[in-house]
Amino acid sequence: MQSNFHMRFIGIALIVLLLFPAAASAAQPYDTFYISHGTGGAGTRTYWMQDVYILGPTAPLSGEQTLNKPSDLFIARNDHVFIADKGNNRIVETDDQGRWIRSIGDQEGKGMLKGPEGVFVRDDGTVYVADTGNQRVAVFDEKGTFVREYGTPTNDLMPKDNFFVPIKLAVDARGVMFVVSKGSYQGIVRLNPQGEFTGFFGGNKAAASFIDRIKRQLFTKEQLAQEDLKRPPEISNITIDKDGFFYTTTFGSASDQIKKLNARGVNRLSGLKTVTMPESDQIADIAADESGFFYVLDRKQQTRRDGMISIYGPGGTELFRFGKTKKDPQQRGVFSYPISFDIDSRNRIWVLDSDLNVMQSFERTVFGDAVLTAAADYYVGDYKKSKENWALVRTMNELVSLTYLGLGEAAQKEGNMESAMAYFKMSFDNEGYSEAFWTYRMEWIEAKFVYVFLLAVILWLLYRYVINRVLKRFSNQLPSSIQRVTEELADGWRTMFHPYDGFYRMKGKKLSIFSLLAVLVMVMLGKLASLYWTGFIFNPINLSEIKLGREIALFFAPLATWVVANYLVSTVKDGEGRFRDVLQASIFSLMPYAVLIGPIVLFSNILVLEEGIIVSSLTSVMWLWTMVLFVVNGQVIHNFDFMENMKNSFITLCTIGLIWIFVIVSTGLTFNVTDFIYQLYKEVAVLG
Amino acid sequence: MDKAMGRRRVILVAAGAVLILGSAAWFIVWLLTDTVSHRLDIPDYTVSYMAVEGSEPWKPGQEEGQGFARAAENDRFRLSVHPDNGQMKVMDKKQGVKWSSNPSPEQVKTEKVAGTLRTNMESPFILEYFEQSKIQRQVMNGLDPSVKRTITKLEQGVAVHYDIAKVNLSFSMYYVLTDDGLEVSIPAKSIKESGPYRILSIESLPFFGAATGEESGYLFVPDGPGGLIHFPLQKELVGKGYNQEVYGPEITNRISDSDNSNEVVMPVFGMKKGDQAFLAVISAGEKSSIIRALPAGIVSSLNSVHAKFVYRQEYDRRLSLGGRSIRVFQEDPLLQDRTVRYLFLEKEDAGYVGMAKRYRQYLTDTGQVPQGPQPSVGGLVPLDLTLIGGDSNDYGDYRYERATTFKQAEEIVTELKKAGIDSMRITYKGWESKGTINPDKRFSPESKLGGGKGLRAFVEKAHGLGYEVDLAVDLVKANPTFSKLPPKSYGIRGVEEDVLLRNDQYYLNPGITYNLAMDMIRDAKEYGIDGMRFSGLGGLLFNDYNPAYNYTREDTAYLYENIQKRAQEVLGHSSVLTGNLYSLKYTGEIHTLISDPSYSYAVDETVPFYPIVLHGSIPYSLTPGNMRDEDGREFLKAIEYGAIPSFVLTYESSRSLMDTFTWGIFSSKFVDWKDDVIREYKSFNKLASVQGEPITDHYRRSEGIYVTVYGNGVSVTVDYNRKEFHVGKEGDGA
Repeated sequence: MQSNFHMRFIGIALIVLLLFPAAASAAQPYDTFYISHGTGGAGTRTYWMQDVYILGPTAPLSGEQTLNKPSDLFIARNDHVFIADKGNNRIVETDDQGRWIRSIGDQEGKGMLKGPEGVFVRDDGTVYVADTGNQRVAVFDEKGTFVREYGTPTNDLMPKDNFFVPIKLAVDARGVMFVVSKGSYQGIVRLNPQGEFTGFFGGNKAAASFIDRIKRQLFTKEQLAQEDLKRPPEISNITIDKDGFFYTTTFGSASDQIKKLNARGVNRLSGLKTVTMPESDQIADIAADESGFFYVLDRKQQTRRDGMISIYGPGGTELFRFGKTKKDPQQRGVFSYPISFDIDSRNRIWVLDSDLNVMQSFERTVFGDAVLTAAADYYVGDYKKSKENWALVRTMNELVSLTYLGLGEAAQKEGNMESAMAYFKMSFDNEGYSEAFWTYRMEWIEAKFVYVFLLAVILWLLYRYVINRVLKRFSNQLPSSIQRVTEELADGWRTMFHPYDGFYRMKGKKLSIFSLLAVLVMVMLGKLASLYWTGFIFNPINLSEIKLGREIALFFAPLATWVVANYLVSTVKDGEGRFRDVLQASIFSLMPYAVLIGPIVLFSNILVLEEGIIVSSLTSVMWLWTMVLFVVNGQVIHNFDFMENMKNSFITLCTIGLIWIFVIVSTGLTFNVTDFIYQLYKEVAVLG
Repeated sequence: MDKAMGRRRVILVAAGAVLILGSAAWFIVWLLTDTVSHRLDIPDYTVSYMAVEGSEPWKPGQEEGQGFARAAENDRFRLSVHPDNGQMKVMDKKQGVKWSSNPSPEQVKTEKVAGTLRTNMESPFILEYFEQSKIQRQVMNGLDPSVKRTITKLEQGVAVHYDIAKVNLSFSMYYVLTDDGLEVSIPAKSIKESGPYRILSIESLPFFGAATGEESGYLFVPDGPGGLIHFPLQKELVGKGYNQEVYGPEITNRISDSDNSNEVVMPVFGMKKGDQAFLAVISAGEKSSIIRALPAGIVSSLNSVHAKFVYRQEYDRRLSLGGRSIRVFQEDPLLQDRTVRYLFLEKEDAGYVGMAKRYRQYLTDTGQVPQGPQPSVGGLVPLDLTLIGGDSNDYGDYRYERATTFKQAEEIVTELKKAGIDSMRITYKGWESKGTINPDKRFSPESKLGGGKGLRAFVEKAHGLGYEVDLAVDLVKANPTFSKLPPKSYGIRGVEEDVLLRNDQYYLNPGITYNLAMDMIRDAKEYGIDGMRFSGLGGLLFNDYNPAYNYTREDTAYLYENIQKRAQEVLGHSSVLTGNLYSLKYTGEIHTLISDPSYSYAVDETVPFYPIVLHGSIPYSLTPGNMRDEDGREFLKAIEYGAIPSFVLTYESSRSLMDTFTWGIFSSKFVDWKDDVIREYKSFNKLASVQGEPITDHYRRSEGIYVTVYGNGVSVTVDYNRKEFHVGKEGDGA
């Protein structure tokens, strides 16, 4: 509904917040944020909270063991960490605490590595190295003995102009190698276990701009040949998860920088749900854990409410972000050039910094474990199992809105619709709410239908035989001024159905100011009701965020401009109507709104999302009806014929447009002036 | 015609009348508007300068070898000075230990560096200066050929006067023996600048006692509650050593980027070398000093720690609104005496525990920390309970969101009393109307919580149960959008005299804060409030370059201290957050004492130096129990550090606060935390017997097991591996 824009606006406004939380205890040298996603236009927000990951040990590598411009990190099945220690021409293996075990590939001989930039270890312990300097993939066994190498594939399929410079690689369960080769814009080089090239995999598409497309239409072949070739951005890194999905990153690109590919190379992530900020083009690496969550390492310098590592749910919904990169860091856990990371079986993350030559670990907190376990169960649909963990999460943190989604789903499964609805409302999930409400409503009707029916009958009888009569008698004794208003309002009611007749009678008549006010008040109340009482399903926002003054102003501004514009235009076009006529007729044309908004608000409270068609069509009817009345009133009060009136109405609309454009342009033009004056005022009066 | 004229006249007259009435009304409102006075009811802070003395030239005394000559002597120490380079040595006569200002010539010979880095090692100071209208920092030391040294005699030492002809700068360094050590000063009056060169900073005795790493030991730095940098180096060196401004960077420079590093809360550093140690206290000019520790491998193969005195700030000059800026240096220097007191320790006292005990004694001797234990109710460890009333929504309509009404607060304390919590101090936060964005910073309880009546009823209720009630209030920061206090006249200003806005907030001039606090304290008394917690007073210092005041950090600290003094006199109690050292004199409790390190690459180990200094004098709490990152470990740390239990609670769900200005309270609902509060209260009260006792020892028994020993012999053993703790007599074992 109209709140969409509003909410998005707020989502952005949030970035400008204070820096430190109320109960500041800067325990870790970085902040942790939760990314709250509400459905139905509730927007995306980040909330500061306790850490999900805290600093763990730093790898104690010193002396001979010190890393030199390391480039890749891989954690094997047994939680041993393998590092492509590029500057030292070797692979380093450490234990799960980062303590040195051995180096691989630094012995003279065939296995000697040269500037290796990538490493991968299969479940059986076989080590695959992207031996960049030697332009090959080198394979070592679990003891570190050289086994074999794969050089440039020789079969015909490989394009001739393609150089094989492996920088990163992943190997699937069958032993098929997926090699990221430097300069290979066609995609990842896929090699079968025999080392034969079997095609490119998961390549990016070239981003053709609008101009490019025009050029392609207009330019000759010769001209096109002279244009710079638009090549798709190269894939920069690859990770394989336990289910055999590949995650690829593309560095230096602001779109498609993260892809989750299936075995056929099809991207399974259709749009990540992240914060509405410019997305980073410096995604360095991706890691996937056992539960299908994936972690994204972002190398760009962080600003407020940003993080170095983001944790995404399996479907690509960003949940948490933490960590920090900055220039010249002096604190552990703050990096200057994080290049690679991975996660072990106990969910410890190891991050490699190629500038500081440091390998730092992060460990999950109790809270992090509870919330991510609960979320994992939630995402696979095991709501019952996740319930317990959500309850635990809730005692530690009430801000994670996913908790209430989880608890809501669980309550719904248990048939406790009322609390399910309450939970969905807390997490601003109108879809879940709608589902729970459907059941709730059905149960309610089953239980209470008879009473409701009886009540309705009684009310009707009461109205028919008592209230109606009293009113009639009473209305005869009303003072004439009030009687006049009621009569005029009754006329307004008739006008809705017989507009020509009604507006004709209204024309030239001086209606009571109170009648006009009464209609405006009804419209106003209707607007307020629609703002505040529209059912949650159709208006899933936090009501305290409604800026009332603005809403009202924006609502009545079109009416005011119509009155003015219509009067001006029809004066020029020899319309008969005076200003008063235009005003009166325009206000009475709002009658359908005043009458129908009530039922719309009522329906929005008793219908579910699937039945939303009733609400939306009723809303459409309401606006169409109002429009028709506006058109008709123009014809009648100015005494135009049909075509004349259509023209006049059209010109009025154009005038409204012009007035608004004028207002917008002049505000825009004077903005600098007003801003200058405002800044001057601020400088003088406030800031000095 | 006439009629029309008449009507027009009437309209004119009416308009005139309206105008006059309107402006009169505006004027009256303006007159009646409650403005905060700038006038203080206490005398201004006065700076007293060291006298520049010693006109009598010094005659080198007995030769001490290597060109050093005896300069002064007392019962314990002997001071000798090298007339040719200004180097200095202190000899502990009983121990026969020498502490020298610089490494020996033999040691310097083995160093690999050259140029200034090398001569720095042989100099008693490193001077940073700049040429006016230029923006480069330049470095010079005492071995520059253009340096002329004049040594004059002092009563218990010597003054070395340096005249640096090349840059037309001169200053003196005083070496004076005291009963327990050495005092090194640079008197403000001795600094002379003529010509185009200006002093930026002076590092005094940068290599005092510098350790080669042959003997093992550590550098002590005030990182978090206390940090150690061990030598010889155990790990690969990352970063540039430890380099931190005392009490945090100066915010008026606008260049401090906010990393989450915990700032220095006490102006002290030290070194342990073998069975000898020194503790150095910056006793003058500490508020504009930097503590530097350089492990071997950064500028030399030596491990050293020293103080760097800042005379001119570097700041960002804006070239356009919100646009580019350049780094420039402040014009006028901060002329203050600068003194470091070196206190020497030996044998069992040579360690961080000995240093902390020595520092505690120094602080109580100089009256910077109240003497003796604070009384507690029935010898119990009190619970530090913070209740958040609510705050204004940061979105849309800025509506005040309730989190705990006064009535609900009554319910909370009644339940806690029933559950057996007998000693508790309640601090109410967000109670003022509109909460954090309270426009006039006056005493005005929020009506949605129950207003003044409700507050009074709550206070009476709490008193009836034997509890004390404090109010928390922020009289330092204000929001320019909502505040009625105009930033131009009440906000602090940057070096270029423009109002300082930071994260959409401005900072009130300390004098204004003082006057607002006086009114607040007076009004709080009426309501029976027992104390105040003024946030900002214990954790943030700044200059105010408003030409009308020109407050330095010293002035700010002085005014803040007087606020606490008054609160303590009138109400009986005052507490602070963080607990910077200057704020302790009139403090009854430190809420959220700094307990986490800054995770600097340089610092190897975090030790409870500050708790050892404070325990027995001022109670302190660490991170509130419901705001911990790692519950188990942080709870045990609070036990190990001798803290008191603390919680921040609300009656409603903490979701009521999530979109308000008081954000980041992620879990605080009373019903969810009640059991934890009671359990922790009981756990902490196992330490009731050590309340008011000083910590006499602290050590690591084995990996993950730490022991804290108190003055009455009770020891607390904390086992992080098994997540438990044990209270017993020393020697019991655990």
